[in-house]
Amino acid sequence: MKHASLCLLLLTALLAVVLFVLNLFMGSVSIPAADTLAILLGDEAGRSSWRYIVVQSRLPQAVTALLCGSSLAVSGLLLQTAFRNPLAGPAIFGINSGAGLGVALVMLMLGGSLSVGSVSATGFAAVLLAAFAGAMAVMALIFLFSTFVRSSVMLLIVGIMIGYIANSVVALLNFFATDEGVKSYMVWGMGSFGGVSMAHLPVFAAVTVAGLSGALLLVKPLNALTLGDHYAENLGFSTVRVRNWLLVVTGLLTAVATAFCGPVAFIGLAVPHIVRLIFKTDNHRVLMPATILVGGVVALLCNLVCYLPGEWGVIPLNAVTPLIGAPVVIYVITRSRRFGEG
Amino acid sequence: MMRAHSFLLLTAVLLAVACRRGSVRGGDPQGGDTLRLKYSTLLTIVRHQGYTDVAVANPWKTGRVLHRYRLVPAGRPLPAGDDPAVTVVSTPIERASVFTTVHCALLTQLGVGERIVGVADLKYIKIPYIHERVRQGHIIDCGNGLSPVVEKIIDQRPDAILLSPFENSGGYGRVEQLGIPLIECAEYMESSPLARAEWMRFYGMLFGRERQADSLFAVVDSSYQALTAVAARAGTGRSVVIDKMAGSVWYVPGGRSTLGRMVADAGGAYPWTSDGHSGSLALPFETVLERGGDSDVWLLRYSAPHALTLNALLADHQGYSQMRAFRRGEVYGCNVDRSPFYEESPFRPDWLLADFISIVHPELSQLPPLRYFHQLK
Repeated sequence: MKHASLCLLLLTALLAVVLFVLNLFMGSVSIPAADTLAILLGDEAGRSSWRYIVVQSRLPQAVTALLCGSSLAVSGLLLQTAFRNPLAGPAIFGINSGAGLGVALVMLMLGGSLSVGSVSATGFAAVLLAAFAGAMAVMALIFLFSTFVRSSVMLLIVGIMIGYIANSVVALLNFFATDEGVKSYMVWGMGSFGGVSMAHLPVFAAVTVAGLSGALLLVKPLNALTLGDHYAENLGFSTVRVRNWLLVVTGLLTAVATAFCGPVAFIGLAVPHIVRLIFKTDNHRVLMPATILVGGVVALLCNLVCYLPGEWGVIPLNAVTPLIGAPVVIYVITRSRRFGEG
Repeated sequence: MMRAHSFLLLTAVLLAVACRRGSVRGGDPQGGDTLRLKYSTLLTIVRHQGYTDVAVANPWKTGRVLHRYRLVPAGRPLPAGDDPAVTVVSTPIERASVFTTVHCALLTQLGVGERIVGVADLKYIKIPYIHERVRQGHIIDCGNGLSPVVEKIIDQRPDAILLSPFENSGGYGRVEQLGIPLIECAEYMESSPLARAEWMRFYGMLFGRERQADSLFAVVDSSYQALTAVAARAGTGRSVVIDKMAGSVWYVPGGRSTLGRMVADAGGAYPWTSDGHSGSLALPFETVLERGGDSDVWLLRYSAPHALTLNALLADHQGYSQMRAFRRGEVYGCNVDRSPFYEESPFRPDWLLADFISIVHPELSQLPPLRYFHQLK
């Protein structure tokens, strides 16, 4: 790894730490920095509501933003490389739509609870399970198609079509739902890093870290893939097998992120472009860790912006992410020779 | 004759209510008599010889009119000076398509339920009578209220369609072009519970049930005032936080919302009283916890097949354990799927107020048992 890249990586990591800390100190309720610090250092005195806000609300939220941003960004990078398509992202395979369909079924049709056999869940747990099941179902479907659809472009189209079908069912459910159901579903669709409680955090973190590790293991074959399918095959990588692994990793990362945080837009699409702009390399040994870090940084930044109105409320996450994501994508599409000609 | 008749009526209302201002009749430039309403800020009703003009003010654009109606009794000649901006309604309405649950309930209460020939969103109407009529084929379900099946409406030949207007909704599409009078039920935008309920007098006029509607409103008004007086005598009661998280957001009713005002009328201390919103505020949990976490009681509405429990509530959001009301078990839920909250409370705010007072002032013993809310276990 070049010296410059290493320095940039360290800088990004530092930025992530700073933003993480800012996320703990800033929020809708203004808590004096000294009190926040005391709470973080384990001081049991002081207001219990503030302790709850910092430890049980802001801390898991910051961790969630970091991990969710990383995993969505990594999913985007994997898909963009594998399909050589600058507009590929976690949303494109319909995995988000699958999660959305699962949640719509629970919220709009089943009245917010889910019963499978003797297991029954309500509220957040039901939504979580439904989103995960929906995302995994779509992923399984794509995986099934990938066994006989060899062309990557065709597979992309299949993914987009599955997404459309899921969305049409969601539209139907919305049309016949109650006002409250529609509103709840809309709120879910706006995305939020605040949904993961301390109790859920270990599960979320474990699965996400596992997925990210899997992505790191794919660095070598990804580098080979960028040289072309034939070259990769000559190097001993089966392109189909790499693609399948990649689908499993992105599917898992997206499913977990969407289940816990809702369909967070644009981070997966935009962050890989931001990374390529800054690091100016195609080497995944740099791109992968950089994407993990920048994904976390962008998500933490967006989360901060969401809580800027303070007393006045909160801006929905998906209203913030495109503000950061869209200009970058436009810039890349108009400036980049590589994708412009490819 | 009609004037004398309504004058008697108004006197009766006056006596029954013993109100502060009462209904006053005064002349207007066109020679009609303005029926001064006690609370409504959106309705203007002017009686003329042989017809009545009703103007509904636009709740979203101050100074503008949302809809003008001319109520002409059946068989009477249309007054001269036809104005295309005025919707002429022949009264009483004999066949109506009613797209809102609450008006279905009101009409049933006024004894004209059999005049409902079409409804929308049938599965959300929790009135057994309506479902019975649908089964018998007297009422047709016209589908989704926001985009009803136009052919079904035409087929029912209604004299009028009652629907709820939305801000900037872009009109009502083809329903608007059917030539059937649209009654825009904008009372949900009134700022006080009694102003909202007062609209029943307008609906009474439309359906020829003026007397019943006026006396029903007089009952609602006097009972609401009496309850407010009881609450006022009891002093400041317990503090209240309302509703719960919907995903990542807590929609907190604003200080000038109907619920916010009713909690104030019940003598409850509401942390958002100073807030000027008539709708809801979308707040994250930490803001609600900071401002309302110390409230004594927690009132929430939910929709579920079974009664909500404290444990289920906690499973939904761990943060609820930080709410003082939750820790003390002072959580009261209203299952809107099982109780007629939305059907009744707009036109019977006194019943809902009684619930609020019972909860906010547990020391008052002469109140009826809770009608909509129940304490969560």
